[in-house]
Amino acid sequence: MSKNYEQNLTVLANAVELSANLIMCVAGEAVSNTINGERIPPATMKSAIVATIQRKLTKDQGVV
Amino acid sequence: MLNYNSLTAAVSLAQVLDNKGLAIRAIDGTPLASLVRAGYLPNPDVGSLEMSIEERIMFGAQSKNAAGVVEHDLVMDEVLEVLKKTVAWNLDVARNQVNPSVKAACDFVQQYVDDALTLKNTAISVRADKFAEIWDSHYLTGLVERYNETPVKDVKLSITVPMADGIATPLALVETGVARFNTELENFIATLPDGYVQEIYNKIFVNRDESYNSSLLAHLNHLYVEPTQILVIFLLASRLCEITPEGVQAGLNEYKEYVIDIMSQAARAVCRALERRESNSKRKVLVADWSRFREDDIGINPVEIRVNADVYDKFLSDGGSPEVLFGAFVSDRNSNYDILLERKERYIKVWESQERVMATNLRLQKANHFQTGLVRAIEKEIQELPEDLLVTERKVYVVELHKYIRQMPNNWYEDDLFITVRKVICAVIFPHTNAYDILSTMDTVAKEHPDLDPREWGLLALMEFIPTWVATLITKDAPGQ
Repeated sequence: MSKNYEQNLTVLANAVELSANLIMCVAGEAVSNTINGERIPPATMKSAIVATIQRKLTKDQGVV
Repeated sequence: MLNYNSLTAAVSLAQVLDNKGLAIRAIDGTPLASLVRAGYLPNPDVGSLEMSIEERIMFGAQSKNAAGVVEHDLVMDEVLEVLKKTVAWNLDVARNQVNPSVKAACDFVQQYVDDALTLKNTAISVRADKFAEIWDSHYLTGLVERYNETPVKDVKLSITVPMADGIATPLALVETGVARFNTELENFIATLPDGYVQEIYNKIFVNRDESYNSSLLAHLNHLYVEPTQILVIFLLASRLCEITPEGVQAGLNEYKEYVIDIMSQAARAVCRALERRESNSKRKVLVADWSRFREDDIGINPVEIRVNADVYDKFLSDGGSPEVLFGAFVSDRNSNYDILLERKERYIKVWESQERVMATNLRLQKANHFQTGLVRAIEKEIQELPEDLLVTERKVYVVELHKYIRQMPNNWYEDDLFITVRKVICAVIFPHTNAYDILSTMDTVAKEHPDLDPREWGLLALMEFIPTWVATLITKDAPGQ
């Protein structure tokens, strides 16, 4: 793995963590914190977050 | 702290980037850059070099500063505190300001366009002056025939005759001593709009303001008023000949002479109306009035062609149609019953041709109506924007609105009005918020999951909106960096 990989992973991991924490902070107040009465498993949520980030990076910067 | 599952979730994307030789970084000065810096190990502690990359990242995010505090946690708490308020505010603005504003503006535009198009649709019409059944009553003929030869006299409407207490119902205002005729009157009144009889009473016997026309003949002129009004004036005056309401501002003899004059003039006018009806039927006089407008006025002013209902019914049963009259209106205005029928195909063709021109005009005008409606609707929203939401002067919003509208495609009105109005409002009034992205994402989620409730749509929308925003804090590193 290259040095880029470490840098990229650090940025992405922090982006995922920040997104997930922010969603959970806001959920429960202005919006629901469950779907069909169930909390979304963290791994599922984070996987969805990565997919969204990837889509945005592809669309805006063509990086992927 | 950084959770391990955040790291593992990011691994595959990081690998994809690495395989392509791409490097990304958090944009300087952003909350993401602060987080990355808080967990970064520029000079790895002893032992960290032997760790895997993933372990080193986790180790960095969990390491404590000189004060014994995990720096990454500290920064994360600070960042979340600020961002949480920002996201909540954006959600609030989107739901409670933008959405109602978009709805109100859409309603305004739709109403504006509907009104404009309704005017076009009712641009020309036929109004059949129909004689009520009471005009066939022999009691009525008996009541008016003795006034057939009454000389014309213009009575100046100058005496106020207050409506008598207890007889304010329409029937009581006009009833006679003949029970069977009263039944016919009752049926006649039932066909009139509510308050019609009282309105005529007020017009003739009570109102005396500056705009009032004091000439009785003006109220009985068949060129300007319907036969119904003439009949009602006659019935009201006949009743007043029998009673003297309290509060009349005249002596008894003067009053009696006054109401008898009104009654006899109205009776004479009823006789003329009966004669005209019979004569029109015999002579097949179809068009009573081509309207005061010209063919150029179609689509600008509502053109109404008045016809005699008795003759019009026969005209329709003989093969005529409103379009024949419309064609005649825009061409030669020939009123001859037989010629109208004889040349009906030609008149219909003339009208169809006119309609095609109008349809083209309508399409061109539609764009203008939408454009004007949109500008007025959003200018209204700008004027009604609460002070605490203003970030600049209202006139600046108006300038921005016109700038935005100018760069919209000509056929924008063919798109979904709600979405278009939302775009304009978000771009012009709320460009400093993420309202448009939030609401658009909510729409997408709602379409995908119609069975969920709005708060659940909100959660799914946030799961898309927040990472999308966080991704804007990332940039591609220039090659070689």
